[in-house]
Amino acid sequence: MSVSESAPAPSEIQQISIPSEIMDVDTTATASEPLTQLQQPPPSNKRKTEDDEPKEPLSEVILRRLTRIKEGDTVMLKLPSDAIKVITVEKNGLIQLGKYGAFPSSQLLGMHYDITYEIIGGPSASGSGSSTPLPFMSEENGQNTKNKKKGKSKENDNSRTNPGWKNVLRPLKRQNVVDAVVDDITETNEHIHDLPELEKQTLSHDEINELRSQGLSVEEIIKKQEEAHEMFKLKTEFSKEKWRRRKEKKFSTTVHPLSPSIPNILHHYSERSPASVLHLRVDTLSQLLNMANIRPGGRYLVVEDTSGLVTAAILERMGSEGKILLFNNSDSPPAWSILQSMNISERELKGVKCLNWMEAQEDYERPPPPPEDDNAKPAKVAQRLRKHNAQVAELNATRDELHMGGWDGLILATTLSPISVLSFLTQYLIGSAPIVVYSPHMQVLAELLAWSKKDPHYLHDTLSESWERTYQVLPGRTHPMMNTSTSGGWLWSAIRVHPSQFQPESHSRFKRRKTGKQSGKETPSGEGGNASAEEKKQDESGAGPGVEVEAEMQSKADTSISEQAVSEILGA
Amino acid sequence: MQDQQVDQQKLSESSRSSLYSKSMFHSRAVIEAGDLVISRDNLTSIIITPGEEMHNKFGRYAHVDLIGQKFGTKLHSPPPHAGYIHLLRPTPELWTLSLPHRTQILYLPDISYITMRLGVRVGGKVIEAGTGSGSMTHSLSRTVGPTGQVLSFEYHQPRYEKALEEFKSHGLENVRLQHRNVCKDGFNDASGVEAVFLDLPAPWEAIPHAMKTLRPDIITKICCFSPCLEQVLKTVSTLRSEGFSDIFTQEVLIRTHELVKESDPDHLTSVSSVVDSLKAHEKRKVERRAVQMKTAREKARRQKENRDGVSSSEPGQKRKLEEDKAEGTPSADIDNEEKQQEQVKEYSAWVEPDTQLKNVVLTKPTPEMKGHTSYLTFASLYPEIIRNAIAAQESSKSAVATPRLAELVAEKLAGRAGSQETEYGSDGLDEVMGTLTEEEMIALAGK
Repeated sequence: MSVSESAPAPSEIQQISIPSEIMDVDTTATASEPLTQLQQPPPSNKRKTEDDEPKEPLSEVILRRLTRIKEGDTVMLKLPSDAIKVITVEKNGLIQLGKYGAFPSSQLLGMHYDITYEIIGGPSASGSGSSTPLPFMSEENGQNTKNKKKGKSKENDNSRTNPGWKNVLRPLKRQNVVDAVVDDITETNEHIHDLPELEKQTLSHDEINELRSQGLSVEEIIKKQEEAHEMFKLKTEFSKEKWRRRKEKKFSTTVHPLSPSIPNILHHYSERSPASVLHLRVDTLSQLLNMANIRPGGRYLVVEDTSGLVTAAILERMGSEGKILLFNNSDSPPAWSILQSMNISERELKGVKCLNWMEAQEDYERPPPPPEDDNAKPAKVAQRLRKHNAQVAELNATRDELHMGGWDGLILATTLSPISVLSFLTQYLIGSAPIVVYSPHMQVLAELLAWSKKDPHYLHDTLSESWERTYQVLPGRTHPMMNTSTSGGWLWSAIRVHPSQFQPESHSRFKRRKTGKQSGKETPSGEGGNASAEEKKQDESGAGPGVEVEAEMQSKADTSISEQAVSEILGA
Repeated sequence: MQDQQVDQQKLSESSRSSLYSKSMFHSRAVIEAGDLVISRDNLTSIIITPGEEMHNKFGRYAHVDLIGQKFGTKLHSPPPHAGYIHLLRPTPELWTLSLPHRTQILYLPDISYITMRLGVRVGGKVIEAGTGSGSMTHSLSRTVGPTGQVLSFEYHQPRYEKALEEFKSHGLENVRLQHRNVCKDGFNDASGVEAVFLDLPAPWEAIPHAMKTLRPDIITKICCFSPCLEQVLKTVSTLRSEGFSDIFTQEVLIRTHELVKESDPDHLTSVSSVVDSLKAHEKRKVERRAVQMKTAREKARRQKENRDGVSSSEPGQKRKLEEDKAEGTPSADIDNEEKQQEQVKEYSAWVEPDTQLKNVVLTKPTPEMKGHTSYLTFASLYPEIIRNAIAAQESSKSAVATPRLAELVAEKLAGRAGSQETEYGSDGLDEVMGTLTEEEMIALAGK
């Protein structure tokens, strides 16, 4: 989807002309071609012409991706230990989870995400009540467990012998909660001594493995543990439950396929490599999306270094309708490691385009291809030229779309300097477009805020920080969780506005009056069309009532000043 | 600024909309008649109606004059009024700040978090009860988009009517507002819903009704918004007994930071520069003193001369005095003292490190913030097929009672007879596995 490709040498020639007899129709689009659409190319029109094949609505495609597992999907399996194993679902594969057991990966096909499944012995393994295919499994899945062909992957080498092949998945029935009130609890921990020698009374790892091989269920193993635990009966019901839960985590054989939803993906990456998502937290991300007013059909400029996470989140909010233009530091297209793990289809990514910073500059021109050898075959030469021209055309189309402006929003979650990025990209935004910048460091955004306060193109610039707390809500045991995340990062947001071009008479009168109170500043006349610094100075120093309002929006003192000013002028 | 023809054309355009006005969610660059425009400066919203005027402390503006202006324009009031407004394109976030309050409203942190956790998606169908002031409704309407649907319920008649009018004038065509008490009467014919948001005094009364509206083929989500912990406990208990899973309760707040302008001139000044300025000050003081003394002597001398009428050998004396003065300056004394002290000290002389602290941009949190809005309780309802599979599992288990189970049952009856059966939901993402207590419960129920 990227249009960027490097060329060896800079040149002034943008496009190479090719002999007319082999010229393609699609090479005609250049930067110089006037675009018919003015401020706002409606994205809906464009889409219609592109998607002429009969297809199901995109929203259904997205919903299916987020709810059901299909072949070839990358799936995050959460294990009882809360560790996550990332697997690819194949028709013929065995998923081995060490002590948590193994099962054929075909078992996952068509399954719902975000549900915990128990790995249990299949029809031939045990003669229990689950010998018939479970109702939630399709016919196909039931057969797959019986007659699968040997796959090519290594873990299939022992396919027939591994007992895991006979295992099936079934939804886990959850444990009940001890529903008692504190007054009912008679046991205390007065007589409980957590001595190491008492710990030894519980079963050893080997003993547990022994029990497991005998085919004992998790609850039976735990029961044995309880029996071995001398102090167990002394514990309160609450702590018994807690103990059991801990043990269950240790012994149960379950998998929980996590849906590639934004909260799940973000949670996974912030545990595994928080730096790869710039320490973003789900509440902060949710605020970023709302502040940026992401909606289907919108067109957004995005600069992100979160491995594609922010792009994916924006894309999802757009329902993949509209356009995202990404900016890239390197010559090659960005490596969206997260986007790739979300099973996003090409169709969903259709509206995502990318430019590197050099290509995004208005004065950039793609250099011509290297000179051809004299004895190169004309057909080959033509083919190469066609390819080059097609690339140039695509690049220029994207560049034109950027430079035509009218974008609906600008979202930054980048390690680049936000002041630098904003000073370049704000000009391409439509009036009143929201701008949101995320940073894990408040200092960066404080600098940005100090800068934006002086630039009249930014209105309502605010710096905020999200806070979140999770509660354990259990009968008689409700409290906030003991451990929590300290910071989800900071957000700077503003609205891009068109600064005023003129200074009305009444305004300057007012200003003259006020200069006594304000630290006396001069009044430039606002003729500078897009020289932002100049205008800003005007706004800052031309201390009208609005300036105060602009600086301190909610401040009642300020509005009262302006009120006073108005009445003064009316009186005068 | 507009000529009459253009105005006429715009008028006719605006009149063609029948039931709903133009959608407030758009990317048009220029303001037209019928548009909702929000002025950020006083947080008022107007629907551009030619012939009307907006008059407030920021000036007097004829609506017709706003037509043709770009969204985002900073518009000065025509004389004699000072002041200006910013003409902004409406967004749900701006609307939240400018809407007329009919109830306590939801703000950005809660709205965005709920939207994210409920998985509200483009093309989805969601329920919201009650509508209240419509802050959440606008955000949901934007997020589900034209292909989605928001089913909103309000039981308060005047609020319902106001909201109905508002949604129509904002062109929220994907919102279906109904006047209904969902706790008593349920959600009418709603079905195929993917997410339910309950902002009600007693959400637990509406939960059983809400379940009937949920799509059976996918995991569906519910969020209950309650300010009190007592409500949360009741809600969670009901969610458990109704068979919801993955129940968790959260709070989200937002804190804003503002720039600090330090008026104190000594702010972040280094000690050495304080020393320098003190030294300079002292030097000036000494010089001044010398001048003062000189003038005083001069004066005394002149007085004496006036009295005596004769001048003596003053210049020489004066010079001598000045020299005495220079030798005995306190700064010289201090220098000497410092030198002495340096010899006594064991460590090296103080060298002040170079810092950029003076250039640092300072912020501090704004003095007040919302300390609590409400607890957000989320839960999932599994697809019907999964719930049935779990239920089937339950019955087959109780059928094959083992001797061990019988033993358990006996123990159970003696021990924990008072405990009540509720579905256990994990706290947060922290999944909890196992079925021991479950088994016991079934056994109990069997007896």
